[in-house]
Amino acid sequence: MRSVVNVRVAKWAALVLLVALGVSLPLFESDPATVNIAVFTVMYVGLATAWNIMGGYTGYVSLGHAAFFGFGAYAFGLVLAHLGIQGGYEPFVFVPIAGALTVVLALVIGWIALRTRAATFVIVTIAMMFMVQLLAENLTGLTGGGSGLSFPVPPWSGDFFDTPFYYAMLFMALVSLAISWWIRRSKFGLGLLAIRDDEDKALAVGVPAHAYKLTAFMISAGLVGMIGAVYGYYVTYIYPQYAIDPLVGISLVLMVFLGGLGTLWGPVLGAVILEPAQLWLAYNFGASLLYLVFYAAVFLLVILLLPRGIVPSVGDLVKRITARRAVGPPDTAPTTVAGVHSP
Amino acid sequence: MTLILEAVVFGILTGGVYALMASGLTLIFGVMRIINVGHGALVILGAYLSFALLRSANIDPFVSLIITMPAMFALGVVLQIVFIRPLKEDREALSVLVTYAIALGIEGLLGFLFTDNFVQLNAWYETASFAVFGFHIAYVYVFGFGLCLALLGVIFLILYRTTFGSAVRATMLNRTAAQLVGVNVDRVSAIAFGIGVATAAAGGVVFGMTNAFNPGSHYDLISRLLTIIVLGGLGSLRGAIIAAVGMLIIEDVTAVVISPVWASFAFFLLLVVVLVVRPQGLYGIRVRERI
Repeated sequence: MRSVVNVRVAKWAALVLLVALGVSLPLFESDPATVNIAVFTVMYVGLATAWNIMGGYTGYVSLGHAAFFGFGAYAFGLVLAHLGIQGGYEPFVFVPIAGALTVVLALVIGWIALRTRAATFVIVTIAMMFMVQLLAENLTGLTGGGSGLSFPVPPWSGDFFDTPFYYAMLFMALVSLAISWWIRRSKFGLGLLAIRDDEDKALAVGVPAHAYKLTAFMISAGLVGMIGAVYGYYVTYIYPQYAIDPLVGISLVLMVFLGGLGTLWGPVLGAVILEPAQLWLAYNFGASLLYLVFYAAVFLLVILLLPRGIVPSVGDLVKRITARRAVGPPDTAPTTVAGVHSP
Repeated sequence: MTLILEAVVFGILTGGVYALMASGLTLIFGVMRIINVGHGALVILGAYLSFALLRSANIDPFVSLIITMPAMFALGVVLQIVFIRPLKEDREALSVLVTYAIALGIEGLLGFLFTDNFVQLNAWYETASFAVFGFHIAYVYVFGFGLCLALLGVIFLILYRTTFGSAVRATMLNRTAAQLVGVNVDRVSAIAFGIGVATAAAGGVVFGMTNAFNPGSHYDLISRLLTIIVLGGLGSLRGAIIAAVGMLIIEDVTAVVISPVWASFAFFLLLVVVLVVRPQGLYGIRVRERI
């Protein structure tokens, strides 16, 4: 009993320390290049966590989340332009509107895409992403098409420019984590995990699978849309092929798989490891397309070496060690259930 | 009216190429239950191989297939053994990541070797044309269509007239049962992947003669090919062929009737409409298994 309490205290202490570290980062690191990397890393922490709510908990792998990311950015830009909002702190207030609009889009896409399962679902989400990209390109009167959409320019300059965006991204990442944590502990989350393990059985025992899946899809998409909105404001100019980039959609999936699919902290870990690595590769080899070859190598290494992700693998290791300590060395390695991992 | 008729004819002719490429993709899915997101990149790689042979040795693109198809077959077998075979759990999701990485690798390598300028495969029959019912059809479309038809015929002969084909079809129906009756499913998978990649090489030549392409062209291709195989029903060759021709006709007609910028959109819209009515696609069976 005592050790359980200690573990909980340690977990909370680690969490508080992590958040404190995140919040104070711009205070002791003012180099814009570093803060820029931090902005994108924290952005991917949020994106991967939000994606995991759908992909990790229900097992429905969406490769089209880039559509929600870009849609959120476009929706935000259009709302700001329509209301005539000036650059500064004020635009951040309107981010939830972009999120709400993205949720509506997710409702439509999800209603159609979730009629399919498994591999078909994966492909349908890819097709949906290209549809949204085509719309952004073709509706020139609304989005500006290939010439892009501009955002109000914030009045901040120099070293300080990245800092407000860093905090906005950090806030979104924490919101995503809090929602992910809450879902995992709720009855709703339990239903999602049941759908992942066996959808037909889950239906049979009374889980409203379709409503649950659609809800998870909309929550996940809404968070991604809001992060996309902040991204659009940060880069101040968005184009269809960069705002709705298949590489963004697949990168965050890889991060979740690296950290651990369906775990709370896996996506965070995956993003913190992979995003700085990807940015480093892009900065150093971005001139030629060769950096894509390095990306590919990272992808393949991650999947072939750690197909189950870091968090579940480490969790198994810890369990095996503690089990050995408790009952002495076992004859055979204890088999662990891979289905549900503790966060 | 003539314009629409012309669009339909071109839809059928270009649909043949997509039918071949999509057949390779759906065959790979049927045998291994994996989505090969790298298929578009492999098509582009095939086109660049023929491009390199054309430029360095002046070999006709169609003739160069004698060299590139076996080479691509071997590449496919190697890719399957090294990257696909090790995947055990979560095959569908992990296969997407792995094959996407293959696509990125190919794109990066081609960009490094050939830059990202657009190129096209040239031959005398690319511009020469003949007249039918008052409109002109370039020879390349007919030759390409003929080649794709011939290769599709070969695939069907292999699948339905050989022992190996029976093994492939058995694996597609039930992998475990096939294994139990003595089919070496690992070998079948590797060869099926090789066949799929070899057809990508042939598709690449026809695609490269009728379109300008660069290393990034694979995104456009793969989004269409995936849409086609879902529309046809995953793992169904017949479905893929019908869906490819149908999609391309609709795309070309939309380009004429409405506007070329909406052509691709009509393509995806058709998928949405079909999914609402028939989630399993035209010839698909309803997926009841877990991910």
